[in-house]
Amino acid sequence: MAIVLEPPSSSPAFPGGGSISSYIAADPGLLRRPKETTKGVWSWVTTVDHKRIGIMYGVASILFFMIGGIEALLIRLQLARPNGDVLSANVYNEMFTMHGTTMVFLVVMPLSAAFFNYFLPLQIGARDVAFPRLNAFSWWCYVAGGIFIYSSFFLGGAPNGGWFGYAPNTSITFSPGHNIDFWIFGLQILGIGSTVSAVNFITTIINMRAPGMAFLRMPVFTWMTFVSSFLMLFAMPIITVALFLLMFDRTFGANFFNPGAGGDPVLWQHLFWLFGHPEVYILILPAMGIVSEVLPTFARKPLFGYPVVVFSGIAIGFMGWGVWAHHMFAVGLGPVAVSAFGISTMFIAVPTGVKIFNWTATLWGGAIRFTTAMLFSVGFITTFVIGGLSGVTHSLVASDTQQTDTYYIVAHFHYVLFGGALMGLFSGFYYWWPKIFGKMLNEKLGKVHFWLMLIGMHVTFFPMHIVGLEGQPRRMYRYDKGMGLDFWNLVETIGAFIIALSLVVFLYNAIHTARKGVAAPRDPWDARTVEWMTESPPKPWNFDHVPTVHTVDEFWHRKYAEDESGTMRRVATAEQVLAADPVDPSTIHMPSPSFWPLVVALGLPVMAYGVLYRAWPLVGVGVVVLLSGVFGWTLEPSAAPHDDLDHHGGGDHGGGELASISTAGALPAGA
Amino acid sequence: MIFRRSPTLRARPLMRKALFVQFPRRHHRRAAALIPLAVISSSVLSACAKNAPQDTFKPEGPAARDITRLAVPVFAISVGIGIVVYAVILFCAVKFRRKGDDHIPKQVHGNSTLEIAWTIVPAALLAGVGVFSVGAVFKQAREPKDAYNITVVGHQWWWEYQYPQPGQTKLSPKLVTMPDPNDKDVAKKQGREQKNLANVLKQAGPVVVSANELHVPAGRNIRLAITSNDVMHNYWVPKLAGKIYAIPGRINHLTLNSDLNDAGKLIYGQCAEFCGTSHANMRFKVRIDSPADFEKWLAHQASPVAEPTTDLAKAGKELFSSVGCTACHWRESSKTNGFEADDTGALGIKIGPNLTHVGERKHFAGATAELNTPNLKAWLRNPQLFKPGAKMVIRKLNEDEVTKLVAYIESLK
Repeated sequence: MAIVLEPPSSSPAFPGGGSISSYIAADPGLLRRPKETTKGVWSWVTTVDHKRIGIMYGVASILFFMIGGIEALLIRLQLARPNGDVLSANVYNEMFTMHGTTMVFLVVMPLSAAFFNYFLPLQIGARDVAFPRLNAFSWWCYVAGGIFIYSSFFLGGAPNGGWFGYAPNTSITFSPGHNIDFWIFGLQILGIGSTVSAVNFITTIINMRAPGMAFLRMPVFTWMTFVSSFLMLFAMPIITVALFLLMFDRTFGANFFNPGAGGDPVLWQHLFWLFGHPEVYILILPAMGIVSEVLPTFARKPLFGYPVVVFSGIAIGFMGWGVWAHHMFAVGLGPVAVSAFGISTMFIAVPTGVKIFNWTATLWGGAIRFTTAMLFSVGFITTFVIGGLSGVTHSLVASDTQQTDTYYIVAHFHYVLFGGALMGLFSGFYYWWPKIFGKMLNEKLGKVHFWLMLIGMHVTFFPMHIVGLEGQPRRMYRYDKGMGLDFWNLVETIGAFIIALSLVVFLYNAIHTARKGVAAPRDPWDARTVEWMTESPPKPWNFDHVPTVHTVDEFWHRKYAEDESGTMRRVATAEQVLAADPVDPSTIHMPSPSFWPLVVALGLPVMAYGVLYRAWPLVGVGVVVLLSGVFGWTLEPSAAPHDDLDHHGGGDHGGGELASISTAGALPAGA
Repeated sequence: MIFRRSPTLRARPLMRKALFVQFPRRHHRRAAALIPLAVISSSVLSACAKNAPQDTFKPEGPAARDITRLAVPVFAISVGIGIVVYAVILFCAVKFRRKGDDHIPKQVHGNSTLEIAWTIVPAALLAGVGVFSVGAVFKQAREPKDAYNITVVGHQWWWEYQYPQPGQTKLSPKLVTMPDPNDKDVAKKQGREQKNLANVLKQAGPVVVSANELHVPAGRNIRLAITSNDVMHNYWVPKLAGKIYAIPGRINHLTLNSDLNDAGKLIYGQCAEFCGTSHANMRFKVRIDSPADFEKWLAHQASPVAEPTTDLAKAGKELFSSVGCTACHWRESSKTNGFEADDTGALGIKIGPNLTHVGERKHFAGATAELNTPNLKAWLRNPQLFKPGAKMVIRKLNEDEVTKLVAYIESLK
């Protein structure tokens, strides 16, 4: 529901005439919305609060991170020695497929979504996202998709065609089991969630910024959310199409990727990487946004060249669409095509380099405090530099024909996705933890976590450059003795366990903090942006008074100002800045909880199981569940009965108060 | 030193003006630069010291050498840039620490000159590299005039090789989509066209067929025409050339070559694209023969299958037919596998390697095992142990049968 406080200039017109109040008063009232409570499992199941959804995304992705990590450890155990026999060939193939799929779709993307959800509205001074119920729907799609894919382990075998699922190896002829079907439908369900989130975040950013927050006053994390949401919006449909084609090939005997009938398996590669490359930037841009928040805070300096960092992010977003064929340099696309993609790949390094230089210049001349969050951000830059530079070496097409499909590539993308994206996200954990939970993560344990992780990362992935150049191809469940690969593979395995240890430290830190953590002050880091201008944790409505924004570093400029001599001096403490009259919560209308997003999302895996097992009645059941969810969603009243707004409105929906709610947030009723 | 030539430090007076900072003494910077340099160089050096038969940085022929020549300077530049960035970050981390709660640095918002510089300088550098990169692409793609042609077909999980008949150098493989003979009657009944079967590779003339080990004449340009009979594979001989995909329904080309004095060398190769269960077991070897040896070898390969001479081998020949080996394996040197079709479209579907002269090969089972008596026996007892997912189906044999069959296979010289 709309949540902006100013009275509307005029009542908006609704189809069929009448005002918003008469429209709501005419609610069919068939179904009641659950009342907002803050306790119990049910309150989490029906919640549409962006903060709670953010926390659930975070918890679930950490759980999947542990599963994906165990898969990684099994892979490394198998490869620790030549001709390893820890796993069979087929189980190994399942492990690397699920490791890749999990880390991309079930860990890094939803972990970014956790931060989007929690901090995007806070950073722009909004009370929630534009479509709170759709937001809950995205979350339940993620849960449904994740559980669906993992149910394959209990139903005959996990996907084993690689996270890239190249046709025709994934066709029914060469993969007759259901393994690949689980992968197809799981990704479809996850894709629906991601697409819907993208729409939600874009709408939120465009429409719900605080007064005064022009686009170029948005925090960089919000900017990167904006860019990666657009990437998601346009990239997810491509994988959806590709997966539908594959599904029709497998389920209904179509021939899109069957060369015998005029189909072409190379088409799959084009579609997959046309999605897959922007996907890489979907994974890395949020982390870049977090780093761009953390560095200025702990260097006590504004981000060096804010507009340049923003525009280089946008440039990466655009250029990311023109480089996909660098995943296919050995496919035989012809010299003209590969040259063009080689050149475009080289030039995407330019905006990426600009970001690195600007971050470094932010540190230059700063007053740096190395908290754990800062360590992770600086760690991000240093590992990303290596990943970026090895990326440039791939753009040499001729040279890449030696490197592609080897461990050199594995090294490269783990430097950017593990050393890059995940380090950035961990930086976000340490930076924002006090805001989310009102308690400080233990800094000492945090630093142990950081150094173990950094060392483990380099010990695991740096040798992969070497074995890759020494000719170790990817995705092999074993390698022979005498290939010169034994020593470094053992080192990599040791490194993987160091990383695992670092995560144990992190989990211990989280539990320790929850039990005995120090309560966080409102502004523990001397922060700069709007999300810190409220309590920790924030109230359900985020801000008692939505701040008016004058600069990017709004909070900082309320605390510090230049004196006559031009030097910066503290003029107010955070407490002084934030001291304000508490607002009567009953004057703020927040969206009511709803269980329909869950019902709609529940229909999807039921349908998927139906198609997978050719159990067509089950598909019907899924359709019925989904449709009843959609109808419930549409027909349920826009507010809970006895909502706060109804406190003197009796049995009706308190039309008077609702009429005073502006639709400046551009919200469809009850969206 | 790379360090002093870096764009960041050339902008030194400018940066000092813009950012009001004091640079430390030079030896501090050098010390900072040495740490990552030492780490990187020591690990790279220790890597090079070992014997790695698939090392991409130890090319054995002109085509692979071209690639290394392109890559090495770019790797060096990248390492140089990396060291500079690490040094600057380390320097910041040491120099610009917060000195107390009142320490508020000058609030610098940016510097257009610097930012334009570090956009344009890398772009110009990359444009320069791009010229060489594109040059190498077109050089790689060019078809050499005097090349010797070999057709390569990827199978799950082994490679088939088709050579021109002795005395010839050219092959012209063509992919044709054939109607599925099994669908003939059904299609007629339903009044529709026959469904298509897989794409079929047709050679214009007769060929000599072998598997797993590629023989090439030393010092000669070899033009491979590469395709696949099932899923995607990726043909890779690291010391002789870059990779190229083997794609069903398409023919890709790759030039590889060796030096004349390489004769006698055994070069390692491997499938590099995940192609199913036993992807890791899809290896092969390239044997570089002197031109004379190669001619001799090829002439022998083109000869008909040898008749067994010992009793054991003769018994093995009987078994070879009765156990059902002939369903999947040719013993005629010119017969290709599932890809061969006669003019009526009836496919001679034989999915296993051509065994006409298998006894001469040094390796089998996707070149994962040496071809010797104990290995062959183990293979016949249970192919799945050698190659999980192997397509070879064979009934349980008793030891006597295994011995006879192995004797026959080894007699196929």
